[in-house]
This record gives sequence, structure tokens and C-alpha cells, in this order.
Amino acid sequence: MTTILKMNQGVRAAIKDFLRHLLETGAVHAVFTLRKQDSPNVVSYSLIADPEKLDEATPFYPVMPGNAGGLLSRITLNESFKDPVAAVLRPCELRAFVELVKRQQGNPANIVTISSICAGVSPLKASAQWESDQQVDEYWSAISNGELPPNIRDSCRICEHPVPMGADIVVPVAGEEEIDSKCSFLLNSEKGAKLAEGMPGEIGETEQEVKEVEQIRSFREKQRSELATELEKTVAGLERVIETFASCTSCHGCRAVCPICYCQLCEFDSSRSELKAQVVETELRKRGGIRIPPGTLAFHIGRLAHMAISCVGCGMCSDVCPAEIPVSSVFWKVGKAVQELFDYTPGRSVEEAIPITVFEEDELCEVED
Amino acid sequence: MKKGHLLPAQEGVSQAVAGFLKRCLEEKIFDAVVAPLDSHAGYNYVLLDDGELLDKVVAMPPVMPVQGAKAVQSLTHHGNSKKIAVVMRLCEIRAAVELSKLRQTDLENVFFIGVDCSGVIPLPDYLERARDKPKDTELMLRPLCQVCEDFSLAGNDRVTVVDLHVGTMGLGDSSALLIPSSAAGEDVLRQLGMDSKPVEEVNQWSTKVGVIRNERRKARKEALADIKKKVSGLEGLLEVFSQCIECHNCQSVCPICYCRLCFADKGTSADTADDYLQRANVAGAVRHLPEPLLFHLGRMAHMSLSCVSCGMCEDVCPVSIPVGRVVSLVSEETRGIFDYMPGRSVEEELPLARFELEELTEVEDV
Repeated sequence: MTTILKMNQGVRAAIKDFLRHLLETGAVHAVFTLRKQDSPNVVSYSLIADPEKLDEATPFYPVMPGNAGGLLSRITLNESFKDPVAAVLRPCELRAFVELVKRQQGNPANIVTISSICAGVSPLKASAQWESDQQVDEYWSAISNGELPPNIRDSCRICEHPVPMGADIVVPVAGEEEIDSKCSFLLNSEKGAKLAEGMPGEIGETEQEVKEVEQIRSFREKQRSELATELEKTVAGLERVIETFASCTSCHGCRAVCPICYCQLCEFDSSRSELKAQVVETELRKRGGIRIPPGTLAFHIGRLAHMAISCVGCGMCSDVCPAEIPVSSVFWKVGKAVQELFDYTPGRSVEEAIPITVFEEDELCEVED
Repeated sequence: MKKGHLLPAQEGVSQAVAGFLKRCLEEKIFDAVVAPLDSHAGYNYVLLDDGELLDKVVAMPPVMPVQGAKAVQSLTHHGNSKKIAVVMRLCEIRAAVELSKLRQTDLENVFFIGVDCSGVIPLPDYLERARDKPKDTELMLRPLCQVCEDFSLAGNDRVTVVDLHVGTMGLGDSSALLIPSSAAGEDVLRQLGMDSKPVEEVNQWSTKVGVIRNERRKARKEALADIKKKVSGLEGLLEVFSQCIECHNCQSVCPICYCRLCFADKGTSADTADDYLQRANVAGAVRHLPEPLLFHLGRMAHMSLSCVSCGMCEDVCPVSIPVGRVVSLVSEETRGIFDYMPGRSVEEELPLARFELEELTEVEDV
């Protein structure tokens, strides 16, 4: 049984009221959430301490200007918050944060997490061109029609985990047809339940923990299997992999925005990855030509080897790729295979050890000699 | 220009240039060549010494996926014993020269072949629309290419680092000019017996380039004035950069930003969770730190003197910030103070590396 707080108002207003309540009662000292900036249609993550400033907050705005899990990890890398802070994160952002915590890159102490059953976000390149609220309105009206919003990221269309894992409070959004008049908060933890005390609304119990509407779930499943089939055709095999990444400009933007890629200096930017005179000689002799700068594909394969097990499929990488390579789709496919191999779900729980840190005597026997 | 050679180019400038390079390799004038190659996936810089691969050379690709200076850097960062001819745009050559002043390229054995540049299409537009129909004329050039004055060597005393220049403008489709621009360049033409002194064609070429340059110069003034209006004052700057998501793509593709680990990524300026909370308490709300504008101001402080206005940064910005135009504007102003032209020559010192007793007195305390 889960405690549920039901409210007779739209989710966008309710979440702000809830956050205001948290700040005003002193339950938290600040809220980490998306906030509108002075420029029109620009949102960015902000830390809000003044309840009045919550007017500018826009927690479920359908844009991800950065994976908040990565941002939170950088803030709490050296020390945790000393006072309680509420963070509103999308499920993939929360999962990324958990993965980073496991890697000693962030500290969750004093953070209470509020997440949503997510309906996805727009690609950044598209939202950067928005000139009015039209697209945002369309997003919400699609939700109230019981549909998955149009024009969301590929990674969101195929998202396997739109339901958050381990959040203190879960706010159903995707598939909620009465989203603009009613909403409910699932209070998953004691911490969450305590925060909701004193909020106007009806507290009850619900059998269903959290569920995403069946229709949307099956739509996403269908999209996933379609994408998987398509990727088999377009990316599988060395030749197609080479072709897929051939237009890569080596800007490494995918890595820069990846929440899991936390290294301050990437192996592929280190001196070890620089072109050696000897390699130039050998390659010239062998092939008559060598692409420079070299190592375009090696970078992606190396990155996959480093982070695929923890890939949360957030889609930031595809969003920033100037060469329009379907990075997140390829990484999703590889990530899924690696994660299934170890029965591992990145971000499911802080306690679940990263497979590479666990020794099993009998493991992967099939690849042994 | 009194010297030069007219290169027949009935099969296109690329074929003509490829033929020329082939001869250079055969005559062992160079050990290898760096040039853009057409592959099924687009255009990449390739180091090659294979005559057959030369057939795939494209002298002037319609797009710049990688700034050529980065290719030169990757090849010569640790010194370079091979004699290499490099075929590139002037902005790429100039960036490679800036990098040599910053000890990131070794140009000792590098022979620069510049090519008249008609500008490039922004990479995303190119990939989206032009891949299947490269002749689509509706595609706009990069904003900075539209206002570039240094696209050709004709009548250009602002660039002196090119050894040999390929002139194509104003010549129709069937010929190209090889203009020597250094002693080494003259030497190569002499060795190959290429010295037809095509006076008339050189005139045609210079005239055409002059016409285009005048238009560009005018357009540049307008474009920079336009950007200046947008970024004037703190408010303007904040607004222009407010969309920045700090992916730092602009920095990673910038040929001048060579630091292995950028100051902005070092985390030295990172606030602790509590600092951040205190700031939020004071201001009511604080954007995720650091404020992106700081990154851009810092980057401009570091690299604007050497900015070659190639426009790579703007190409890769996922949120369409006119970052190239802003940096180019700032660069014009900072360079102006020191009368410095990035990539003009290898000998011209970086202003920051040079001490002048009497300098910038106007900003001194009196």
C-alpha cells in the first residue's frame, strides 16, 4: 500500500503549491528545479530558496537543458547539502544521479527527491526555436488526451523507465487525462509522507504503487521494438557502425553532456590518445591514407565500454550532436544488451552494485576459453 | 602578382588540384598530403601518400566538419619530420599558424596550399538537406562565411603564411590559378616547370575577388553592428547566452581553444552545495552554477585575440546561440587594440606574449 495525496487542481499548479508549502514550512531550505529565465522560452535548473521565486519555477517544463542528475552530482561532489533540499527530477535524471552516487560522484544526503511519471521532453534543437507557448500547450493537451506528446525526443519515445525508481514522491503525469484539473502525489517514503503533512488535499491509500497508462506503455514498447529492428538494419555490423559514426566531428559534445561520463579529463582527450608518428607511418604504409584527427569511432566504442552499463537513456547525447548521429539510440541498444547480461538496471537503487565492481566466480563462462 | 601558373581544370578544380598534388608526390617534393577527401559519409581531412586516394580529393568541400587546424595539430603536435602539403581554407591555415605560436603545431615541414573559399554551409543544415542534393542553392552559408573578407589571397595582405594559392573565382569552370606566395611556393612551381604567367586570368581573378570582398566588407559591418546591438550591456549578453546549456561544444571545436583540460571544466570554480544554498538564500533563486555567461566571457578573454572567425563554434551550438558572431565581434575589437591579425604571419607575436613599455596607457590609473 502506498500513501497518496489527491488534489483538486492541475499538476503544474499543484507542484508549485507543494514546493511552496515545503519552503514556507521550512521542511526544505531550497528547491532544485527548472525555472524560467528572463529570456523568453529559456529554462534552466535553479536552486530556489525564496517561496516567491517559485512563480518562476516550471518543474515539468518539457525541456531538459541538462541532465539534472549530472548537475546535482557536481554540486554535491565534495560535500552534501547540510540543510534539506527538494529536487524535482525526471526519472532518467534521478537514475543518473543514483549511478553517480554509486561512483562517489555525488552525495544524496539531505536531498528529498520528487519525480514524475514522465511524458518525455522536446529535443533541445527544437525547443531552442520556440517563440511562444504553443508547443508547451500542445504537450499538455496531448497528455490530457491520453496520448504521448508529439515531437518528443527519440529517447523519450522509447523510454523503458518513465516511472521513477526510488523517488520519495512520485507525481503521475504521462497518461493522466485530467492533468489540468486534478492530480495526485504518491508518497513513496516516510520522508515523502512527512513532507506532505499539512498540504490541502485528501490523503488516502492506494493499492497500485505507480502505473503508467497501459496505452502509453504499449506505444513505447512498439516504438522500442521498431527502433531495435531499424537499428539492426542501420547500425549492426562493423561496416554500418563505421558509417553511422563517420560524420562525427569529434566535438565530444555527447560525452560533455552525458551524466555518466563524469571524468574530468577523458581518456580520449589525454596524451595517450594522440596520434603517434609510428602509427602514422604504419597506417600510411598499410592503407595509403589516415583520417586526421584519428580515432573517431574508437572514441564512441571506448565511451560505450566505459558507460553503457550505466546508460540511463536520457538522450542528452543525441540532443547536442551537431552531426545528427543517433547517438542515444545506438547507446540505448548497446546499453540494454550489456545491462541485460548482468541483470542490472542503472539507477534502480544505490545499494545495487555496479557489475564491474562485483566479483562472481561463475560468470560469463561462455566467453571463457 | 607577377608569377603564377594556369592549371587546366576541365574536369573540375578538385581534379586539377589532385593532379597537381599527384605530380608533387611523384617528384617527391612532398612526402604526403593532407586534404579533404570525399567519403560516403561526408568530407574528412586525410593524410595520404597514395596517388589513387588523391582522386577523391575535394579542394573546397561545401561544409567544414572539422577545422583543418585541428588536423594539422593532431599531425604535428609532437613535431613532424615528413614534408607535408596541406590543402585548406585560409581560416584553417591561419588557425594552424596561431596554434604554432601557441606551440601546438609544428609548421617546419608544412607547405600550405590555400584555396579560394566560397564559404561553407552550417553542418546541421548540410546534413539535413544537402547530403542528397548538394547543388541546392537555397542553403545559406554560415553567418560568418557570409561576411568573411579573407576568403582569397588575391589582393590580400592580411594573410602571408600561404605558400601556394589556388585561385578559382572569376575564372569560369575550366581553369584554376596556382599563385606562389612564398619562396617555397615559387620553388615548387619552378621544380615542376609551371610558370605560364597568366596575366589576364590573374587580373580577372583579382577583380572578381575584389568585388566580392567589397560586398563582404559592407555586409560584415552591418552584421557586426547588428550583433553589437544584441550583446550590448550586461543584459544583452545575459540574454544572448541565457540558452547556453554548457555543453561547451563551441570550445571543443574551436581550433584556438587547445587546452587539454579547460579551466571551465576543471571544477576549480565549483561552489560547494552549501555555498550554492547560501547564494540562493541571498538572491532568492540562483541558476545552476556557474552562470554560462562566465564561461563565454572567460573563453573570449582567452582566445579572442587569435579568433580566425571560422564559425565552427556556431555550427555546433545545439541551442543556436550566435556565438561565432559574438566572438568575432569581440575579437575584432580586442585585435584592433593591438593591431593584430591572427594567422597573418608566423613571426607576428601574440600580443600577450609581448611587452611594450608604452601600451594601453588609456586604461592606466593616472
